[in-house]
Amino acid sequence: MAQAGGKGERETLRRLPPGRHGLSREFVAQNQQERLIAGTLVAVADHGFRETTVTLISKESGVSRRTFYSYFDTKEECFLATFDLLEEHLLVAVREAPVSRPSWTAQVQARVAALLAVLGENPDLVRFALIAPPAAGGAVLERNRRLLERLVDAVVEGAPQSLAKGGVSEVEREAMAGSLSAVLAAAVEGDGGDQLDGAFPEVVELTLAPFVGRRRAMAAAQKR
Amino acid sequence: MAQLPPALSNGSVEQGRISQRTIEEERREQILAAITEVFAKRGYPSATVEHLIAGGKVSMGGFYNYFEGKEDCFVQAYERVIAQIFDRIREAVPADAEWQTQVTSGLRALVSYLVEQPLASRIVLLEAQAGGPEAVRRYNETLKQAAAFLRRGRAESREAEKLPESFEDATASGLVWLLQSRLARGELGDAAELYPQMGKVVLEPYLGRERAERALRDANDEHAASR
Repeated sequence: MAQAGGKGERETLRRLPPGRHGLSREFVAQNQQERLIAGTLVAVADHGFRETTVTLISKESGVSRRTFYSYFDTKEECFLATFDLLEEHLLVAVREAPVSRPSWTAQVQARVAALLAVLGENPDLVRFALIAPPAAGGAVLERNRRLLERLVDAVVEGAPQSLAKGGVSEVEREAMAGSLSAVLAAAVEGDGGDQLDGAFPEVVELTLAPFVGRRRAMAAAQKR
Repeated sequence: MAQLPPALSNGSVEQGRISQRTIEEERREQILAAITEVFAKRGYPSATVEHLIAGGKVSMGGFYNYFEGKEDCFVQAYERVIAQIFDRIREAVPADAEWQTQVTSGLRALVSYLVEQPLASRIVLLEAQAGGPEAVRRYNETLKQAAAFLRRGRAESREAEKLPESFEDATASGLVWLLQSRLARGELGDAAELYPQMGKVVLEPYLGRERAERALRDANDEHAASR
């Protein structure tokens, strides 16, 4: 209660009833932030990270530059926030993929299919998260790597102890993420979103092989 | 049978090269070595020609005498490091060795170079992809050469023939990826630990787990004995 200086004033402000649109401050804020992120996705998909400016983001999202700066100090900060949101979206899609049989292999197959489906439906997302980062370098590229490593981890999650025991090293996990990135990029660049579905056997194989061996991974890659 | 990939099979190391080198070439080498550090420390996008001139200890006129501009300068710096890496691999790999030995000794040479030369490694592994269209083209070319070398492993077993078309491209990207991650974090760590794990990733698809592990053990013993 007995707080110093300007704080008292801010308290009162916060207690004011919502504005005439009837929406809470939080709602408006979240909505603006989501628009900014959606606009960033489109701007980067079209122009790449380096060419994307705050002005471009503002134009694509229909949110003023001033408002942009109330959420983010720099465009890089906004890029990273966009990665966070995409990552959450992708991880949920992967983890919630329905599995037909109670087996880990079937779960991996289902998760790969779900991942490819989401990516196939969202070409902007693919450009933002997979194609554009290498040319950007720096923090964006680092974030892209983390995203792929987490995707691989989510796809192979829950491997039976008996399989993981053979020892899937950190090096193998990192190599898996790199291979996944290359396979997806090649599939996308081999024109058209539906090409992504064609990457299914390769992705299943590369994620399963370190656990079950090449032969069984190749067999699992052929049947869905 | 066991042949080196074109990029690696350039005959013996030329002994007399240094004495024949003109002063001009020597100077260019010096400048490129210094400039490599500037690119590595500042990153390609933020390095300016002014930075390169200051770091390379060269005049503006001198700079444009050697290079067309920043992009060309980067491409030359990239080529210089790649040539050093290939030289190192060529020296380490016995020309008549079988494929699996080429893999193990080649990887050891590669990783030890990266550990010794973190700045030079940065420009070929991390900056090249942001280094403009020509650098990206050469970077992809280097990856393709690596993939072509790995593809020879298919002759090692029947099973390997069934691997998908693009398998080696994915493996090469995977290996580069993990080196990039570690280099970016400044954690390349111990070459002696890293290269056998990479060797496992490369050899296993072609030789199967047991043969791959044996090949790595043999390589390790041989290396220990030769020191």
